[in-house]
Formats: sequence, structure tokens, C-alpha cells
Amino acid sequence: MDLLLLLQQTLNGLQLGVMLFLMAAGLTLIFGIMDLINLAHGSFYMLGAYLTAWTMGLVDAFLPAIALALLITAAVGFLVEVTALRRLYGRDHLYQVLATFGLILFFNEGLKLLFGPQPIFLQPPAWLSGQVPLFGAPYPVIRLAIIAVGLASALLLWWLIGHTRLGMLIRAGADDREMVQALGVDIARLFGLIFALGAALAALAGAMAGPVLAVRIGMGEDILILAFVVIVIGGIGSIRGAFLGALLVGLVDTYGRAMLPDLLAMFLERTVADAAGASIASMAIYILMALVLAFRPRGLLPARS
Amino acid sequence: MPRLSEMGWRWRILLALALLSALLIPWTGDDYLVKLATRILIFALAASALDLVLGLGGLVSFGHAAFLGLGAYVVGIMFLHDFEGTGFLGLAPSQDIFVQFLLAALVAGGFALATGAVCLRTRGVAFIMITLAFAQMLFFFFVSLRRYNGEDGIALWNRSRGGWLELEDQRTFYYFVLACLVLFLVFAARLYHSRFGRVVRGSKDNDRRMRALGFPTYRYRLTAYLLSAVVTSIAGVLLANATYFVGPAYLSWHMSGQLIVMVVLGGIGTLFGPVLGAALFILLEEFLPDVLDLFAAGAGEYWMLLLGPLLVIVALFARRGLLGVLVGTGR
Amino acid sequence: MSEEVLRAVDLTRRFGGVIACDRVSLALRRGEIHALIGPNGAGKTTFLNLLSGELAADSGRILLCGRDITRLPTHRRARLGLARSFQITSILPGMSVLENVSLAIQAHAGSSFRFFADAGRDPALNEPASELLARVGLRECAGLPAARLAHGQKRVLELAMALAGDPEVLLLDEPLAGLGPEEGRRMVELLAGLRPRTTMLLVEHDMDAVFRLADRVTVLVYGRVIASGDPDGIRRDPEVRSAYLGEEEGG
Repeated sequence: MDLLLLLQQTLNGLQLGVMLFLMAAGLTLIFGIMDLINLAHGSFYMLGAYLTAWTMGLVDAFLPAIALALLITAAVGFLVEVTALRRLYGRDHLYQVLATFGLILFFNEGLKLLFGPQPIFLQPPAWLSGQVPLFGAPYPVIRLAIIAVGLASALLLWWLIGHTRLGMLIRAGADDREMVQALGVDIARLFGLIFALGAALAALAGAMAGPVLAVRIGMGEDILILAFVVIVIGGIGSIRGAFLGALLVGLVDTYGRAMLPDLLAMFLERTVADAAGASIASMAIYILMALVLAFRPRGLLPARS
Repeated sequence: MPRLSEMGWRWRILLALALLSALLIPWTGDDYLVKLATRILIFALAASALDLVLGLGGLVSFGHAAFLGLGAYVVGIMFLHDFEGTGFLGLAPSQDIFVQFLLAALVAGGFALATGAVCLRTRGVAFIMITLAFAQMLFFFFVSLRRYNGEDGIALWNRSRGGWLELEDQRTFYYFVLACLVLFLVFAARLYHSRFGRVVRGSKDNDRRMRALGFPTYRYRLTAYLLSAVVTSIAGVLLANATYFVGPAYLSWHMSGQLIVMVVLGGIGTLFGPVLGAALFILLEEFLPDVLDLFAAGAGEYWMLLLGPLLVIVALFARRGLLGVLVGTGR
Repeated sequence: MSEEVLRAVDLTRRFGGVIACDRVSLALRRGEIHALIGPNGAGKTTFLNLLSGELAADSGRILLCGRDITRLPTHRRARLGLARSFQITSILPGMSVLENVSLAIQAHAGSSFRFFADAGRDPALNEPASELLARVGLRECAGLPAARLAHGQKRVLELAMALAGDPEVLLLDEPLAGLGPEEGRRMVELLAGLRPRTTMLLVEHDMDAVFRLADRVTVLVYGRVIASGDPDGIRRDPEVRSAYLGEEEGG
């Protein structure tokens, strides 16, 4: 096998991995702390992508456009938490599923109404759209940028949760709500804040996905389910687990799609290998999940509680 | 869930009327109406089957579309091979609907046992995510399966054969589906009060207590999951026959979500709730766009913009579903 | 010599670095009420959980009527006659009082993989259940949803469920917790009335009740047995007094 191809696929896998991490981080915090399943988390991802497309038209500068999109998504997330999801804490998960499923339908149709059903192709700014030579072959700058931003966000999140007062409250809130309340913290506002933070992280992933994939209705749902797989593999409620799981899923999925057909072709006929390779590759991460669950039912790095 | 013998007269009359009107629908001679009613009955069967895990077992399966799709694909794959005159894994394909029922039950049952063995070790949020993920795995599998037309699916030229039953006839097919649904509802009503049903309900209530009493609850929950999957796959066989089409969309997670919506909309853990919910959902899907178009041309396309918030409201306020609202007080 | 019904040999369980149960050994003789006492955090509930199978022991063995049950899961132990009540009342709140007990009977009355016959109308389940309810004084409440019972009644209901199938051993985790004086007195009477048919291991903080009921007492402190014997001996044991009783009576 080609070493160059391997390196490139590793980078592609990392890029998918960090985007998954941005999605999974918010989700797993919300699971872990509020015990809420939020199917509409993918909608924030989609919202981030659409809003970036829109704000690009307004301010015509990439970074401020993204920042604006994140802020608006965070506000929407906060609003959704306050008006609807807040009433669902402690309720049967079934009703959380129902309500957030309804939210998905609402966001999908709403954005279709506002932006039309056609996919939008986000044009990255000139300084991000080129290619740089890497290991002697050109590689898109934007993908490298996504990896960098993703890793930086992970680092920031690690600092936020491990070394700030907010992070201390988040960690404590997961274990003992009463204790946090006794500290004089408004737990409702804390939850709203966490929710907004999660929404912003998802929006960041969506904004970065815009130039690489297309901005389209339903884009959030595919990645949402991948993020679920990430969380199950990593361990529910665990940020470290989400990071490990995201990288694993990103790499396994990318390697599988790129290499399984060739790998199988060593043993099978080419046409059979292509067909079987594609099928197995599309299932690879789910098989990975099943394997992890069989040996570690609580995930690779479960949260402590 | 009250026993039939404990129902008041008003309920019995209502039930008799519902059954009577269900029997009379084909005699209207309205082909569109019969087709619509057939679809409602099929989804009523799938939703009722889902309620075996959702209502009886308290397990929120977000992957039941997988079983529906497996049942449908049994029909599609058998049709395709029969049409081509090729064998399937060296066996002669069969278009007999009862053989297909059996095959669907075997395939869906096998998938349920394999995935259920993993899912049922977890609870709550994890269970939801894992059932969803396994269904999604199957979805992508069929999308990438070029042998069976991948994303495009399989168009059927004829319905399965039902022995002396002429299923191609819309009316006969309708009665066949109705019979399947009624049979299952009778079974579900018995199951609820049976020893098995009580153990599953007890495990939903307090699993720890049930184990301390001496029940290996995992086995009971797995069996309930298996039963539910098998019946859902039967609904899948019927769905393929009703629509003359099989495609990955039947396995999509939207389908799983819709089935849950039907159960909760009608009333979870009740005998007729899922039936009512399926009817309500399909009628909304069918007529809400038209109604919206009356107010503003083209608005009908966006009917889900209304359905979404409606679901949020149901989740927040109407926990017992339509049946709960109709009946007023508890079960 | 009366025979041993349950024997625990050197049961040990660690949580991280903490040893919750440190080589605890204990034997229950048929028909006796054996009280297990000790300060909070002594490992009493952990010990019960090891016996009932909710927790796996790190080392040691458990014998029920001479049979090694150390590796058996909870439900198998329950079927062999090891019943228990929980510290926090554990019933089936969504079902009627009669159904609660009748389900407990069902666990010991053949296979539950029966999908068609109406269990709610099976006299083979309902009659023993009604008898049990009468025995504990809950007959009037049989038709009520269990969730609607008063707290004391719920504790009694849980006891009735544990008694279904006539267990060899009954593990009771603070049956008097949260009961008023009147309810507590009735619970003590109820428990005393079960003797000698049912062998009991009783974890309880109410010392009056313990010394009224117990034939023998074992004292657990920091996961270790520091004394075991008849109630009078325990009451006089200087080590027990200083480690445990002293701090309550001396106060």
C-alpha cells in the first residue's frame, strides 16, 4: 500500500474526527449532566453551516462571519433550552426523543423555507482555498485548518472544564446538583449556559463543514448519529472519551472507505471486492461500536460517577 | 390496560363500531380510501408491535425501522430473484406471502437477537443511541448494496401470492392486512396480562426488585424485543406489498422516529393507542399539506413546520396521548 | 445442634482502595434471627449485597444449605431461597398490591414464559398471594395501586414479597427505617411471628428492636467482624461498647 495515501487518509480521518469531537463534546456534556437526549443537536450543526453562509453575505469576511454564526446558534440553543427542553429534565427519555425529534422537523423545514431546498456551496476565503505540498503531494489547506481548529477547541475545552470556575461547576453539577445550588449558583442558568456552549461547538463544526461538504437540509442528522456512536464508544458523559471515540471513529471510517476494497481485492475478485468493501466500510464503525460494547459496556473511558 | 371483559358498555359499542366501519371501508368502492386505510392498518401493526418494547417494556427503541425494512427487503429480494429466475444463496426464491412472513421473522428475529443482546445490557440514553446506530448500520448496508439497487430500491411488479387469496385485489389485500392487525391486537391484549407480560412490566417498573424476586429479567426483555421485532418485520412484508416498492428509506431513522411518534401520539402502553396514533399521523401527513395550501398556495410543502412544534407540545403536555385525552382519566 | 442454612466464608470486597468488607465470615442457623449491627459505613449493606449477589465478592465463598452459590447471579440465588428487602423500599409501584405479591409467588411457581393465559386470574398465584397479604395485614389494600400505600405499608408489602415462596433465608436491610413508633412496633411483631419458620439476617439501627428480636448478634466495624455472639454477651463486650454501643449509650 501507498505510504502517501496512508498519510493523506490519516489526515482526512483526523479531520472527520475533530469535527465529530466538536459535535460529541456538547452532546456528551448534556447527557452526562442533564441526562437529556437531544436529537436536535444535529440541527445546531446545520444551523451553524447555514448561518455562516448567510453571514458571509453580510460581513464578507470569513472569521467574523463564523463568529457571528456561532453567537446566533448559541442564542438559539439557549432559547430552545429555556422554552422547551428545560421542562424535560428528569422526564422519561421517550418524551425527550419525541420533543427533540419534533425540533429536527421544525429546523429542517424552517431552513428549507428560508434558504430553499438546494444545497449551498460555501466558498472559503482565498487564504484557505489553496493547497499546500505535504509529503510531496498537494493537500487542501482548509482540511489542515479544520484539524487545527478542532484540536485547539479540544484544548480550550480541556482547560475550561479542568481549570476554571465554570468547569468546576460543570463537573460538580454532574455529581451533585444540591451541592452546586448550595454554593449559590443558579443551576437553571448553568444548564442554559452549557446548552448554549454545546450548540456553539456544534455550529463551529457545521461552519467548518460548509466549505468541505455542502450545506444542505438534513446534514446534521448523519453526523448526529456518528456522534452517538462516538459517545457510546467513548463512554457517556466523558469528554476525554468523546475525544478518543471521535478520533477512532474518524480514522476507522476513513481508512475503511479508502482501503477496504483494495484490501479485499487481494483475496477476492475485483468487482466482488469493491462491492463487499463498500458495504463493510459503511458498517465498520458500527461494528467497532458493537465490539467495544461487548467488552466494555460503559465505553472506553467512562465518566466517573 | 383493562381486559375486554372488564370494559364498559360504551367502550364495547365504540369498539364494535370501529371494527364495523373498518370492515365496511372497502364497500365504499373508493380505491384511494382503501389504499389509505390499508396504509394506516399496516403502520398500526408496526406501531403496536413497537409498543411491546416501548410501553410494555419501557425500552425506547429508536431502531425499529430496521425490522420494518428487513421484512420489506425479504419481499423485494424474493421478487427480484424470482423475476430474474436466479436463486438466492442457492435456494429457489418464493413469492408466497406466508413463506415470506416466516423468512422475515427469521431474519428480523436473528438481527434482533444479535443487536438486542448488546443493547439490552445498557439502559436509558445508551439504549436509545445503540438501537439507532444498529438500524443506521443496516440502512447504510442496503444503500451500498448494489446487487439490490442500493439507494434506488426495488420496484415490485406484483404483490406476493397468498395461496387462494387474491392479494392483488385491493379489497382482499385490505382484509388480509386487517386480519393480521386484529390477530396481533388479540395476542397483545392477552400478552399484557400473561405471566410473561407481567414480568416485562415488572422489569420496567423496578428491574432490581424483579431480579431479587428470582426473575432473570434480561431474558424476558430480550424475548419482548424479539417478539416486537418479528411482528414489525411482518408489517414490513405488508408495507412492501402495499406500496409495490422496497427501498432503504424504510430503514431510515426518520421511519423509526415516526413509529415512536405514532405510539406516543395515540397513547403509549395502551391497546388501541398505537392504532389511533398511526391513523392520526397518516391522516395528518395526507391532509395537512392540502389544508395548509388552502391558506397559502405552496404552504403545504412545509407541513412539518407545524408537525414539529406539535410534537414538542405533545411531549411537554399531553403525556398520555390522544387516547389519554379522549378517555380523560387513567387507563 | 441446629443446622446451618447460610454460611459466608472470608467474604471480601474492595471499592478502589477502600475495603468495604474484610474477610467477613458468618453463619446462620436454621430458624434464628441473626442481627448484623455496626456504625454507618461499616459495610453492612455491602455485605448483604454480596450475599444476595448484587455485588460480586473479590474473594471468599457463600454456601446456601451447603451449596456453593458464590458465582451465581442474583436471580438464581433468589430461586434457591435467598430473599431480601432493600434499605430503600423496593416494590413495583405501577402494579396493584395483590399483583406485587402474586408476581413474587410467580417467581417460584414454574416457568414465566407463558404468553397467553391470564395470570391476573390464576388462582394458583392469587390464592397464596392473598394468604400472604392476610398474614401481614394488608388484605384490605389488595386492589390498591402499590404506589398509593403509606410508607409503612410499603415496607410491609416488600416483606410480604420477600416471604413469597417460603425462603430459606431472609435478608432484611433496615426494615424499620422511616417507620413511626407504632408502625415500628408492628413490624417487630411481624418479624417475631415469622420465627422459627424463616431464618433471618437483620441489619438494623434500632437497638431496642435488635435486642428484642435477635438470637445472636454480629458487630461489623470498618468492614471487619469485631464480635459475634448472644445479645447479652455483645451488650457487655467492652470492645463493642467502645467501638459502637458506647458512643450511643454514653451520649
